[in-house]
Amino acid sequence: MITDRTPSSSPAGDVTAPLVLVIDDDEDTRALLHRWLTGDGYRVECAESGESALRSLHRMLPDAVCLDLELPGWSGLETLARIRAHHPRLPVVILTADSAVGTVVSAVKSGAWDYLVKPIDRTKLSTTLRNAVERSRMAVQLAQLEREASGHPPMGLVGESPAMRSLLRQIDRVAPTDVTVLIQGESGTGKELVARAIHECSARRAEPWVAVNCAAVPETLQESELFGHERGAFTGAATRHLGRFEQANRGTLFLDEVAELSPSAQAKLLRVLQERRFHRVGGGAEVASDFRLIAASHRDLADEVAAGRFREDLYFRLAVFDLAVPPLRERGGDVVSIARAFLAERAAPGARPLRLSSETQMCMMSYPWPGNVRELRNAMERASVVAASDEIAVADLPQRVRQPAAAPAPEVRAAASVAAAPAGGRTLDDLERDAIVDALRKAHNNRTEAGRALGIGRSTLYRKLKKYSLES
Amino acid sequence: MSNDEESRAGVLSRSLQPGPLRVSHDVFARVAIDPDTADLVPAFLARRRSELVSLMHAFGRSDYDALRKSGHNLVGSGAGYGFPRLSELGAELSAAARDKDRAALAATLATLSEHIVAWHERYG
Repeated sequence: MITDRTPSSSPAGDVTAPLVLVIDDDEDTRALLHRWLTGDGYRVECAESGESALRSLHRMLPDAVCLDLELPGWSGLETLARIRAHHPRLPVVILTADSAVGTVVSAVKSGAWDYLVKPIDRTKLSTTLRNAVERSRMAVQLAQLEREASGHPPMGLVGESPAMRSLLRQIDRVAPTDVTVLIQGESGTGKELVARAIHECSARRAEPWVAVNCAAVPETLQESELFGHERGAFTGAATRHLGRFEQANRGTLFLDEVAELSPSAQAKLLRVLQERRFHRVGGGAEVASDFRLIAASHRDLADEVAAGRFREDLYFRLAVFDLAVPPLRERGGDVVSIARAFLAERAAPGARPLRLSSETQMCMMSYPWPGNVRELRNAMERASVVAASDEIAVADLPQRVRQPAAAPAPEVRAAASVAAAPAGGRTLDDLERDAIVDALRKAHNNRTEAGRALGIGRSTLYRKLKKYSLES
Repeated sequence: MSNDEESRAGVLSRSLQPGPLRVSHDVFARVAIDPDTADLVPAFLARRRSELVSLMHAFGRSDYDALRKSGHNLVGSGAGYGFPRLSELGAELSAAARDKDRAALAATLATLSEHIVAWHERYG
């Protein structure tokens, strides 16, 4: 069980304080270390076994771990090996009552950052953890520098808004690990850019990056696409085909729109996540692949689970670390920064990029951008073509952007989303369903009000609620 | 059980009886409670005193693994709460349990109970 025993005097409210995970089965030792470490300014989480620690480790991403060697269930060394497998840069300080050379050598050979012999000396613990946390934070800074040096953040990840800075911090934290990541956000927010940034900042960056849009693959071909097939597996399978999981060996596999997988493909995906092995369609031999999985969806997967359309066990396997990409309307001045980045990208070599007049900037910031970054890119491409001078005027923006005072009509929003949707991506039905859900949420489930906002009658709304199984 | 073991187990049993206990002042000589953790000490000692009963039961049924594990935990926590002697006794308990040395276990348990009861009555 993970217990947050942080007392009121601790820096628990300070989310920037380094986080230390203490793994020890002795309640009194946990309580003592908790008191000492909070006194030193750390946030502290405690776990009583390796199993419970590993279950929550991916989500909390601590800066350092204090690990007792003698644990029930998984031993300390076994727990250390599992932590190292997923978090190679996370410093682990071993606590041991056994000062025998063999024990210490085993721990250090297994990748422990340092060790302390029990009874623990408070001063030595403070010094050791200070060094460990410093090393951990340097690893995060290194990942950040690598991201910047590699040309990232990509266009859509430009921005200084609190929402974007928080997202970039999370990318820097999770990138060096090997954990599965679930990225959720509206269409056009840049989920693939986030996934790509994680890959580029990881130790797998020199290895394959394989991206699959599950929504673009017909259900009948999903298993073949992901897991490959043998020659003759089905009509038309003239040769052996390596699936995406095999192609991503040693690299990163990005499954976009993972909610669109068929129930059968979901079941196979769950198995491959558990075992890292699978069979090609029509094949008897097991194939192993060393991949890191990043999944994304514009739908809320928790809602999909509740509606019975997505496997709960698969959801928990995917959402080991979940990231929410904020919509553009929640990113304030980032709209202008991203637009400038797009204009710079389009400028001829050596030429000055087009500028945005102050009125244009105001207009852009007051528009909700339902198609998010993708819609903004389209708008800048259009504006840069029609601009009559080196400055983009309000008149150069698309009509829907120029009328921000009134909320855009649903059909305009839908059109914007359609324009921004990827080829082979969401259908009109998807967009309509989303618009209805959104309107109901904003109207606090008042159907008359939601219908009014959508510009449709009450009976039409009821018909569509039935069509999309939204009656409840 | 040998006569020696029986007499030591008797000491242990008597030390668990309620009532005034005559102890050596050495018991308190090296106690150094940190003000930062002083509020945790009474509950810590109460748990140690309760644990004496289960230690005695473990000794009675020759559950050396439980005795060794308890000794290990005392090593880890004793000094931190201000009782370095408790960590030492934990190490002795753990070693005696590992060696299945019943005489040493009985002696350590008797000393342990004498100390824990005295500390609990003063600091608990």
